[in-house]
Amino acid sequence: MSRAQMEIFGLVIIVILVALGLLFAVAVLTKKPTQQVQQMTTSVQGANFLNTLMGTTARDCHGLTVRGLIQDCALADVNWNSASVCADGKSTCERANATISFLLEKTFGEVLKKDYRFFMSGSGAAERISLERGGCPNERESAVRPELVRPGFYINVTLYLCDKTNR
Amino acid sequence: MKKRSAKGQIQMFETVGVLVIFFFLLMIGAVFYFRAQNTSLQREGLQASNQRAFQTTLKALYLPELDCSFLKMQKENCIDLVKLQKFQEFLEENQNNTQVMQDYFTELGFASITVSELYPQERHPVLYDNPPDEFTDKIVKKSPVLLYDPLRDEYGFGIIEVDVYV
Repeated sequence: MSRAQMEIFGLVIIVILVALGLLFAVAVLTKKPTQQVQQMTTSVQGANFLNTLMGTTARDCHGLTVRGLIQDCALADVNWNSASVCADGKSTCERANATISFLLEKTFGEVLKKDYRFFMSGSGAAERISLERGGCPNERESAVRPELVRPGFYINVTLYLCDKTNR
Repeated sequence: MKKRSAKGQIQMFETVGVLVIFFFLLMIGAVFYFRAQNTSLQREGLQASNQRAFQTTLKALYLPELDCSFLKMQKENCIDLVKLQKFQEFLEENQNNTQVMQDYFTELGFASITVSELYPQERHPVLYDNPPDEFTDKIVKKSPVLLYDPLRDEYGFGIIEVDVYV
């Protein structure tokens, strides 16, 4: 190998090393530091929201919690006609819809500033309660909670959460 | 003889040039390495602060002074509103009591804890407020929480906000 070839070879090695170093630096410096923590926090917030929501006592509806409203609503027909009626004349399905909508807006719309999609599956009446802000079509964290309506009959309550920029 | 000396000088310049480039690359490498180390340290510091904020939130939720306990059972993710009010009054009354404040400082550290009721009514009582004289950053954790009213036997919906100062 001639001297000129050796020098070019050395130069190529140096360029490769510099390129590798730059790649490493870019990868390290641009990595989002708390992405995993953020994902975990969002996931916990979703699970906590569902847990808290289900235990909240609804206004003027015989002391029923949101869980109680959903359980009653899930047994009604799809048009909500056979659902029980609260003190103000609204059905349990309407009351559940209004309460969940209010709490989702307050919690994620105003306080936590996140987009969401809330829906239920397993009962035609409960499936009509579907609420969203942004919808979270792309990257999202989810919390799913099975709720017992009566022995052997469960419905799944799902909440998707995502950042507002992710539209 | 003169020709030989000129050739030697060129070779020496070449060696010096190579050394200069080598040390230049070494310096760039070192700068990147230390920047990467610094970023890594900052990330670990942030993670530690996040964990501390998360722990403080959990501690606040499970403080016996606040929890919803029924005989031997403790309800998860729940704060008793009567206990909350009494605890707030107790902390206000003992603001100058070093022993009391030291006890809660050991548990909660430099933090502010606010419990906001969103449903059925809106209230924003500050539970614990202990910011340091100087701080560089503040980590905010918010989590939904049940608020039990034992007088009416009803559960409200609230948000607990923990601000941890770093």
